[in-house]
Amino acid sequence: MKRKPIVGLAIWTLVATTWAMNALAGDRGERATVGAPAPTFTLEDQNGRPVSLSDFAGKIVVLEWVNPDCPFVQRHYRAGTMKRLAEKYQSKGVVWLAINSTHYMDKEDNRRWIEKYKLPYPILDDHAGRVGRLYGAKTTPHMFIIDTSGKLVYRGGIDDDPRGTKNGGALNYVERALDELLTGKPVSISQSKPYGCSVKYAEKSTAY
Amino acid sequence: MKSSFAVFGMTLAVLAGVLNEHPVNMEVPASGDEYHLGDVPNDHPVKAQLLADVSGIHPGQTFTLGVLFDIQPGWHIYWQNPGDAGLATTVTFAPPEGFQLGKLQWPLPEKFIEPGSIITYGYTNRVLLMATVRAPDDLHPGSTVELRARAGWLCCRKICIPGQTALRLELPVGRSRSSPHTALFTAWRSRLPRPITEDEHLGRLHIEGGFSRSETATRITLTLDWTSAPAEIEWFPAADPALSVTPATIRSQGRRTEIAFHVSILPERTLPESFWGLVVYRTPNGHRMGITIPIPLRAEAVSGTTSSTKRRMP
Repeated sequence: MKRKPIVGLAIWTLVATTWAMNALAGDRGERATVGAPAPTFTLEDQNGRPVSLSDFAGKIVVLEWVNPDCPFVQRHYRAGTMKRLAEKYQSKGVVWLAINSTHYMDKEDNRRWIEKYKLPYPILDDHAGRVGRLYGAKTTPHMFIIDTSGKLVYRGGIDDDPRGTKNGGALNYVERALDELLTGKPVSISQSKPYGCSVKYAEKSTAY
Repeated sequence: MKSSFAVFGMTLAVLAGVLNEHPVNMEVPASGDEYHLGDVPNDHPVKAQLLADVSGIHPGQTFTLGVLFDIQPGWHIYWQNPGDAGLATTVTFAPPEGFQLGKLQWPLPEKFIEPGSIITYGYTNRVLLMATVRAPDDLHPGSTVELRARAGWLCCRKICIPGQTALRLELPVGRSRSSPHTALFTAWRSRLPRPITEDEHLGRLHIEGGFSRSETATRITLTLDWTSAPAEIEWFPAADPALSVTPATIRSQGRRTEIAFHVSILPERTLPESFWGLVVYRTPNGHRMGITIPIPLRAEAVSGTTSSTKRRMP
């Protein structure tokens, strides 16, 4: 008898939370909702090789929206934020995919960025913006994490330091979420406000 | 409405011609740490200057300081809530000890919608961010007061470029003197949002929604009854690191406007007591006006909240 209200509250909270998440993402026709299966896609990497999300079924996948022209991205690349995380978790089976939805950039721009920073991960060419719009990527950087079951478990900023003034004291949401996933825990911060430059999308994009 | 802006721009351009006369205004090397985004090139699209609405101050005087941002065509900087992307502009005034500094005042922002439904809020062309300052009573006539400010911004067009600067302004202590910038400050004051009690066009506001205990999401509906139907109604929500706020749907019929949006608490954040936003509209004679709307977030504090302004409904 005594447990009923708690169970009731738990179910009710779950319903409310799911509704909240839908409310967060749903109004703008985005399909990448935390707790729901991540939308599938196929894009070409910097060498023209097709890369599909389904290639990595059963693995944790990190998606990073990137734009080499964006000062927020430049700051994180100078600091090695993304490269350090990608290398740290690569040995633990985590896949890192950067996606460039900047409408005026191509595979050559992506290749140059990879060479400049000796990146251990590909940059996928989404200059038509279809996958960016599908995920509702708003900023560069904008981060998404997909768990081993293919569910989206995080969407938001790379950390809590939009101005880059915390000098090592920033909370890196992606690092925290990956540590939790790799130790079998639920992601405690599944959503945060992303920051950065707006994604420079093409004016018109066909539905993916 | 376009023409009124053009006239306004011309007035400012005329005023700008006398900016260099007095008071002293110079840039000093930036020592602030608001931004660590990169170096600012010489041909930066934004110029910032520190100005006052007086050119001399007397002991105990209240005056206004402002940082005037001149923004090249095509570029924009951001409001205190940048929206989906960007970064809030920062202005930190640093008057000497003994001066009392008021809150930073932000003129009505514009809304930008970029491809991909990216909504941001900010300013184009020109904006003056202001704060009132009260001088201490024990200032020595004949001395000079040095006022400092730091400004930081992100400006965006096709790409985004950060900027920051440290600014300095010297004012003589003596009799209060008007400044060539007085009209500029008056013009920008008229573009500040007003408190709900000072608005002449809103008759009644009714707020529905709010978080009940343990709820993580709610739908807030503002019902505004106007004394005369305004045009171009816009909603600018404040920024709160604990909240996610969806774009609002705005419906107007006759003299009634309904503004509805969802608010969710982000994971591991606690519900702030209150929230606010700006309702911006254009009056029948073309003036763009804004009202600051405070929104309590706890359901018990919200539901059925009705504010009547000093004007009664006709």
